[in-house]
Amino acid sequence: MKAQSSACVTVSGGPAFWRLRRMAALVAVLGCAWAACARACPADEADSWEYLPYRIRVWLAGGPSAALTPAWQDRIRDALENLSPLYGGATWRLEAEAAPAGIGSSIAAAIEDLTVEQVQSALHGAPAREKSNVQAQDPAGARAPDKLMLLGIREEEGRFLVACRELDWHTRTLGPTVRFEAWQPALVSRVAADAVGASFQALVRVESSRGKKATVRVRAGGLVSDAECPSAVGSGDVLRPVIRRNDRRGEPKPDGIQVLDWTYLLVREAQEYLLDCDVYSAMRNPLVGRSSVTVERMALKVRAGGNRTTLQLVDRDQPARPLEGYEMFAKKPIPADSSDANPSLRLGLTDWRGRIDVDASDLPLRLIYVKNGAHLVARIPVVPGYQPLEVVPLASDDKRLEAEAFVRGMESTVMDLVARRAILAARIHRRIAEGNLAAARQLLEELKGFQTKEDLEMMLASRQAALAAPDKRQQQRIDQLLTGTRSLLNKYLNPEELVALERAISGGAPAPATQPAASPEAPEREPPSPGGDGPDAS
Amino acid sequence: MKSAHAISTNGRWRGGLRRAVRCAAHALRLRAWRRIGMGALLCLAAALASAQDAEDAEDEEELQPAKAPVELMDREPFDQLTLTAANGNVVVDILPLETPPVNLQSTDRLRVRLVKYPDQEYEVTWENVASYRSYHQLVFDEAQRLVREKKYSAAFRNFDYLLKNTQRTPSLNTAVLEYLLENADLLLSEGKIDHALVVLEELSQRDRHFRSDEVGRKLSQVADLLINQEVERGDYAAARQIMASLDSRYGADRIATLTSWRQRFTQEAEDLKRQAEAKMAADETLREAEQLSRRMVAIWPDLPGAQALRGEVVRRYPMVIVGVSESAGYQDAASIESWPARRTGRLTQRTLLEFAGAGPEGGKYVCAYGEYVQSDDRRRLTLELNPPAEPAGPAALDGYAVARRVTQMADPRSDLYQPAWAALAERVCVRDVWRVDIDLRRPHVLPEAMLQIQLTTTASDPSVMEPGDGPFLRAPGNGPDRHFVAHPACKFAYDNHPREIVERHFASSDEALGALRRGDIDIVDFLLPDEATRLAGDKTVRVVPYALPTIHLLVPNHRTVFTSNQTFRRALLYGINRQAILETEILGNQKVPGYQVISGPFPVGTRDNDPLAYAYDQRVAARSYNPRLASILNTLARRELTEKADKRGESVPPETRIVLGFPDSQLARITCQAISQYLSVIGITCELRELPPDADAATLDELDLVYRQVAMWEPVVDARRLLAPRGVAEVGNEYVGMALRRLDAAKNWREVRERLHDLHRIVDEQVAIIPLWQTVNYLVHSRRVDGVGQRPLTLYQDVEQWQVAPPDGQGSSE
Repeated sequence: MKAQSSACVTVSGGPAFWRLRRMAALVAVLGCAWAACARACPADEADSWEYLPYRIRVWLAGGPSAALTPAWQDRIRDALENLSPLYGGATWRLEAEAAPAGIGSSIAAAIEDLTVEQVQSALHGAPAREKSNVQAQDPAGARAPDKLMLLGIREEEGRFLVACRELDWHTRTLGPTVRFEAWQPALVSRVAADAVGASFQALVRVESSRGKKATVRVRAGGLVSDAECPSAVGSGDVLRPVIRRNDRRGEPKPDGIQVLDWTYLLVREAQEYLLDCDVYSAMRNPLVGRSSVTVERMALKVRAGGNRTTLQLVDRDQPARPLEGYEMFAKKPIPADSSDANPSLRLGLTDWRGRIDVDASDLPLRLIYVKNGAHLVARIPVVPGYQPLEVVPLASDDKRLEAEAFVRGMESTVMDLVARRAILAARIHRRIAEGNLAAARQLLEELKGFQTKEDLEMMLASRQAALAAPDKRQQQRIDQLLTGTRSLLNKYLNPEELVALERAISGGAPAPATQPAASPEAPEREPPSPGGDGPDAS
Repeated sequence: MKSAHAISTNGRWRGGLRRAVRCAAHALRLRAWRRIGMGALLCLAAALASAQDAEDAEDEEELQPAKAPVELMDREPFDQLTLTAANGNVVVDILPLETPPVNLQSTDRLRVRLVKYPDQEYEVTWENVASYRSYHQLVFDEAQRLVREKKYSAAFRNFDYLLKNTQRTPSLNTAVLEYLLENADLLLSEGKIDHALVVLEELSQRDRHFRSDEVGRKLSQVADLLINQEVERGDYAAARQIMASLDSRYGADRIATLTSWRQRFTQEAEDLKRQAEAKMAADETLREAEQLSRRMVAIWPDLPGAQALRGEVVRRYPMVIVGVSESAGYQDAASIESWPARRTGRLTQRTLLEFAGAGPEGGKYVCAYGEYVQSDDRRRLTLELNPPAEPAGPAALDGYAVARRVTQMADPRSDLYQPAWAALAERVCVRDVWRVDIDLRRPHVLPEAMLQIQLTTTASDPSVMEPGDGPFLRAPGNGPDRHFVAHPACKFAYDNHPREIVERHFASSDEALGALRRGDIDIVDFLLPDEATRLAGDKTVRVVPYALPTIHLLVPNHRTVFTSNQTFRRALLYGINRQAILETEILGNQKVPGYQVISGPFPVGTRDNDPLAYAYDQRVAARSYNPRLASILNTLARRELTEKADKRGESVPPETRIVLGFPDSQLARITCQAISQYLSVIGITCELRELPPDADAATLDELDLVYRQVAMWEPVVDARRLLAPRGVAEVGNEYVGMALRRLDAAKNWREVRERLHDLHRIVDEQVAIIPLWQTVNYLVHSRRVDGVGQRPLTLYQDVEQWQVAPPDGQGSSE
């Protein structure tokens, strides 16, 4: 095997020969260490999760190309097995084989479209692999690896496109597709190994979860010797939880796999292979409880492959309808007890497709706040670059926004009206005090020309009919807004004020002031309410 | 006071200043209130009202006239007796005597009535009288004294009275002539040359022989200065007029300088004629020949052969010079926010579809490259493009080019991306090269309005006319003028079409009209309405109204401290007396139909049932001027901003200072100066900043408010172009955004109108922009330019039909 690997490297030839030869020697040494470690930690030691290496199987599929001969693919597979200790160290036991015939072409051509069921049926239908060193130690692993790496290579316009996608068997979860390319055939093996390493997602088990905190245990965490190891999970890493519900045989129930949407664990502190995490979720308490035999709470390490994720907001009831014009803000996921300032950063508005781009920042996780008008519609944790596009179904809030716009406009109108009335009332009082009743009467006539409470109430009532929302919760919010406006009218537009002013003019004496006296030292006071209970209510 | 002075020097500040100044003190008082705990709006309002009333009372007192000593000329006529020294030299004012005392004996008694006690008659012995002076004598003596004191203006009243009410005695005549000569001297030394000329002319009329040499020298000096003044201003016509006038009245013999000026002008014109003739020889230098001959005629049109040469130059190189109030920094035929960009865009660009006027349901559009039709279900727009007339002719616009362009508009990665179009257009299909079908995701009432798009041209050879090229090309030129030369491949309707159009900026329309009268320019693009009315009767020019009105707005910057606050924007709206500015500053107290204060971002139309007004909701009334409320809102806004800033650990600037940017046009300048004055009244310092024609985004970002004149002629699509976050006003307001989305989704005209009215209401409530008024605009052109049209949309709308007649030709009536 080593000879083959060396031969493969030699083929690439050139000035790098001696450097690569040293690397091959290193591989050999690490391979020995890995084998020794494997013997020390038997695979069937199920209770020592943190010392259980990942059994990884790579399915290699080549696209239709004269360059991708079966022999060359064999060499790539051998190279992958030889190079795997460089990536996973003792945490990986990797074997590579040709993808089963039924799925090979799909892996090569349409890896994005593969489903777990397709892979599962291919796995069950695949012939048992001939004896290998991994198999010799772990015969059961032939059919059920921990990780199944779907590796597709195709040639396009002289370059080799390498795509790899992980299926975590335990959680039956397909990871994002990692894509690399190579121009030199000699480098394809190495690039393929890089792709496998990049698509690997470490697995953790949720040991406990309480509120917004969780503790997880890292698979093979005890075997990790290097923070760069793909199996390592440390402080600052982000995990994506998956709940697995098992039947009596320990197999997942139909629909028993639940990837928790819009939920991430952010590792705050690592104590060897036990990690303390903060839970960020768009839902309440998504991870409550402990893992058990029937309900297993796991999480996969999130490895963002890009720098940007496009969020698309759609109407939950009509997914074809995008939610346009929703405002997005981003905040950092800092600990709740942190005293650091955490200002929100405005990202912008969703476009006509309901889309907005969320770029990566200094932390892998970002908390996205979705606002519509003054209403916070959702809080979504997002790892930018993990998925290129994420669709967020939300209840449409458009009718409520319409009501809010109306109410805000009405508030401005009332505010202006109250101020204008107060100004005029004060002037009338002054004219009465001066004995200039004619001028006071003239001002009163002007005051009578202003909009009245009844006018505004009528406007409110006519608008209310048009603001019927199909959603009950939305309607409640609308009603709440309109009720608030009504109470504003009752509070500030007292029709008795006019009567009092008229009386005052008729009596020729200053009317009892219905407004607070003008004084720079006057404390904040509100005008009396019409049906009020205070002495000024009359 | 400084800016008030600036306004008055413009000659357009016709009122409101006194009130503004009066209220300024009150606004200062308000600043002290900002510290109080004024959560209660009512408390503030009442206090403000009381304070304002007190102000009013103080002002009323101020209005009482102050008692000043009464001048002699303002008193009823009286005579004056001066008693002898034995009687204390007392001076007594008496009622005028019917018969002046002549040759009285010392014992004679004089019966008089004192001015103080007119009912009582007194007798005074003549021996006790030292002197008697009649009222006329008193006036004359005072006039002499005033002349000695060089108070010529005051002396004028006395002499005027004497000349009208007394016999013209030689001494009076001499005194008057001396007075006039001395006055002329003073005026000359003060540089008031035209006044000096008037005085000298008055003197000459009274006595042609009075110190004729000295008067002639002064007249010559005045004439020299006046002519020189006009020459320095470049107004040779005015200079010639002065020369002709002086020549006819005094003759060149008396005013020696006239001859030398005539020789100088003739010489200059001859030089120019020679140069123009030389430039005429080559086609490449015809532009220079045009400019030289134009200048030659302006200096001395009577030069033999000048008119013939000018006629020949105009025949060979017809050039039109347009006076503009605002220079074009760029060209965009579909611009809504820049009048000069839209104007000149028509010269250099042709858009796929072009707005041709308002129709009963939205605008009417024409396609210069073919025809278009919308399907009955409003979900498909079909363009039938014209194939090339002849195979070897200029390239025609084909369906693939159109398809590429409209696809780019829907591509978020393209610079040409238009979100509204991307949301609307679903599919583009080209059939038979010349037919393009554009399928829409939803029905739209006017999809063609969104296709006023420039067509990207690829031609590197300017002699080849590509689709999208306009009839003129930008050309380099010296100085600030903008030059456009006729595209060599463009087909014009007439041979005497303009070969070149030059746009020249004038700071005021007075200057532009002066240049038009002198023949320096041929067209003035933008006139104030009072000027248009004044010029309507002038037979030498033609005043043409533009077909559609424009609206004037202040666009707030929603990112700066103060204008991001809605309460502050309301304060601005209440604090600007838009009605007064419109009536006094712009209309000059005239009533002109179509000029109206508006409440929203849409035109209100110029007549009843004007289809252009389909977006304007008449139920939304324009907020009236209310400085008291504006002051309250300003104070409340500061409070809101302070609270917000405190939460962030920031602070609000202690002074409410905003920067208002405006384009370099007279209308904008006048408007913004007045606005600044009104804002100072409510305690807002408004700094004015004139913007360059090509102001970039960074410059605009420094401003709090920008004055804009907007051609909002198709509200159904222009609303988004103005109010969307990427629009002219960059309104990020969520309610406005919602109203725009609802408008986009409208499927028929009923829905469009309803939703535009909603948008109007929301924009008003949120004060997303500060609407000012709607104006009807005019242009005026010389009759030698023909084909401008009866009511064009923009100046160059029919430029392919223009004809330029020789200077002595008469333009045919349209």
